Amino acid sequence: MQTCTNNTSPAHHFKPVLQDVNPVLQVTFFMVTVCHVLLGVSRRGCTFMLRMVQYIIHLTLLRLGPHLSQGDEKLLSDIPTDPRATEKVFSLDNKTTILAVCPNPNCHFTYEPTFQGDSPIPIYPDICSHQEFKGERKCGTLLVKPQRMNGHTIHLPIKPFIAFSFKDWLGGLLSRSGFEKKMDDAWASSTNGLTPSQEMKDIFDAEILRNFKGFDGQHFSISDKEGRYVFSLCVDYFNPLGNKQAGKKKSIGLISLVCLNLPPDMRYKPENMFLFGIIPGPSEPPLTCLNHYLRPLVDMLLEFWFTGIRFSRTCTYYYGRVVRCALVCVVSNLPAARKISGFASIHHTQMCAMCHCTRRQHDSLNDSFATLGMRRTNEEIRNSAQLYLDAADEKERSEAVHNSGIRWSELLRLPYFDTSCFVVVDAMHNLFLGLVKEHFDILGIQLNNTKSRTTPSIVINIPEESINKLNKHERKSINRLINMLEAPIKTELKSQGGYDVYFKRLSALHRAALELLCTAVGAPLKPKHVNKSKLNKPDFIHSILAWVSIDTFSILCAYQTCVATNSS
Amino acid sequence: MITPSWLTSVPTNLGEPSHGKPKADQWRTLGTTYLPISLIRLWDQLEDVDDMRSQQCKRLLEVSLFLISAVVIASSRTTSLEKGELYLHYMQNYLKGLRELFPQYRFLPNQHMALHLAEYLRLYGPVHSWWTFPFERLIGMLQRIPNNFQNGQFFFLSF
Repeated sequence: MQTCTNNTSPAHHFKPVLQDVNPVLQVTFFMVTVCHVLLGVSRRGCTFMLRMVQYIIHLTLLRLGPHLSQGDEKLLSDIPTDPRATEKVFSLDNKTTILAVCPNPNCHFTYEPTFQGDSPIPIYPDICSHQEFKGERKCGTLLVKPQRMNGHTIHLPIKPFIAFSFKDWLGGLLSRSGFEKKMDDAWASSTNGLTPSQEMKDIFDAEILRNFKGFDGQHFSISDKEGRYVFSLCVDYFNPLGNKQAGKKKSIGLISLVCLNLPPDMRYKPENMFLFGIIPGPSEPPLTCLNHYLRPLVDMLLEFWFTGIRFSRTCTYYYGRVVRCALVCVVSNLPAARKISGFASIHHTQMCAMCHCTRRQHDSLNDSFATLGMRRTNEEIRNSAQLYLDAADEKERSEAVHNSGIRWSELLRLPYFDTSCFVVVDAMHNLFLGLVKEHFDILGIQLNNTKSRTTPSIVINIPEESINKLNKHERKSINRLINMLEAPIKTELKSQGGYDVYFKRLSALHRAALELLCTAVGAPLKPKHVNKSKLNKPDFIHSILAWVSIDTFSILCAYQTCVATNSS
Repeated sequence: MITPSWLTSVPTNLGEPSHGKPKADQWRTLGTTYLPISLIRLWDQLEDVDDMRSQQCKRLLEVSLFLISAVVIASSRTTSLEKGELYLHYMQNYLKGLRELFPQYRFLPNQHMALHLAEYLRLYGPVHSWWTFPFERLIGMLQRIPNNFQNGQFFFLSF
């Protein structure tokens, strides 16, 4: 076993908070910290609150007599005026590193700060020296801006990226009572002799973790007192200004890790999720630029894999413990997952990251999507990614992407990372926001009128031979009619005015065309018209319009009666 | 219809712009609860077998139920190898049925990806450990943090 040189001390988690301090102060500190951190009261509001508490206590003490004792005077003066002082006591903040990001929207290279001696002032390079290819011109974008602070000028990054320390966070997690035991116990179900046909209740019952090998070739969980934990990674982009239709569109990213060893009910509590950092906006990093943000994370994960990190004390191990971690799945929506794992976008010919299902040129209806292609393998993907990385210039690179659909991803540096199956398809986006939503469209229930002709609200098939019987003008008529009916027109039909508009439009068409369509789709004639000796144009039009509106309205109506009678 | 209170509520005026974009969980409720009930009430009673329209409707109902079954199986709290295969079976039937009903329909990448979900159910177990719901909730929390709309200023003020 390799020896661990990396020590991380979570000692501050075991120190009692505010020991031997006046209870009045303890409660005040707690109240202000909760207001600031959990309730979102601003720093200004908290300062006001602290001053008021001080004043109230002062007034209360004055009821006992006009003069305060020395102890009381000290109590009053011990109440701070800045909420940052109260928070410091609880040591809530994780350690962070502020990285300088190249502001060039095509570069995004990140630089870690260096420090001179004990000085707390971070030093960053002035300009970006990143080269995408050997021998190419350097990026050369300015990274820092001068800022005056207390009479000194220091250079701070124009675009900062704040990376939280994973070691620090994990130390905190392991210091909480009961957590460590639960995390170690999680392995029980993947190492017992359960047959694979049995029901799976959690990720630990399933194949990946049952067969997950550690660096020594043994099952990952088998170790001599070491902590072995697995994590999932999520990168997702969101708009910090809210999801308003009319609002500004900005996109910033979230990089977050979740410890899968925690039981499912604790795993996703916000305090147990690790936020690695927020990718700064205003827009998503293009193509492989996300790699620059992942690099510090991957460096850290490599350390956790090969040497392990020694925590000087954990909850159950007083004299410290070595911990090794692995990243076993990437959970993201489709576009983000593609960027993290280095696959080309879904518009590429090689549209699938898992199999060799391709878009074909003559296949405009994407029939090939309905079948599973040949599975990709890990080696194949790694080889293609290496080709991309080794490319000498832009042209070679785009050729490599064109052939394989694979770019480079920092995650490939993790030796255990199996690109062919560690990047999962997200069920929420795929099923609920994808397929279910699309099926509503297919049924003709269009929620927003943004999609127009692309979805088949109604597809009308009329036998070829009966169309051929018509003359040239009537054929034109029927084509117009089909186009009109296949377009989403149903919402307008609801009102009398809309109905009249369509009635007028249909009246301009030939009678023979209307009759043919009516019989072809089996539009029901109104009972009073059935016995007529000769049906005229308006009769057909009424029945066609009724048929169109019934088809989708009836679904909506049935739905509405369902919801409207919902007593809750 | 009386639903349990833990079921996500859905807009009563579905289809009108006023309710905005439905959330993922609302789609789930719509798809797995309200849609099958509405469709079965509507189309299952159609008896006239000779009528082309009612035949189409019956077929569409069948196809919709393939999708709904697949979704219900995939989002179950427990899973097994058989369930994974059953999911794949339903999903393939759904896509096949869709092609028969709508010869002009263009398949989406999502529909292909859904076929791969079967494999992930086998590899990773129940979907709750590897879907993005919790992360979306985290995003919701981050979005609600009060800020001054100035990107990247905060940390340097606190040096």
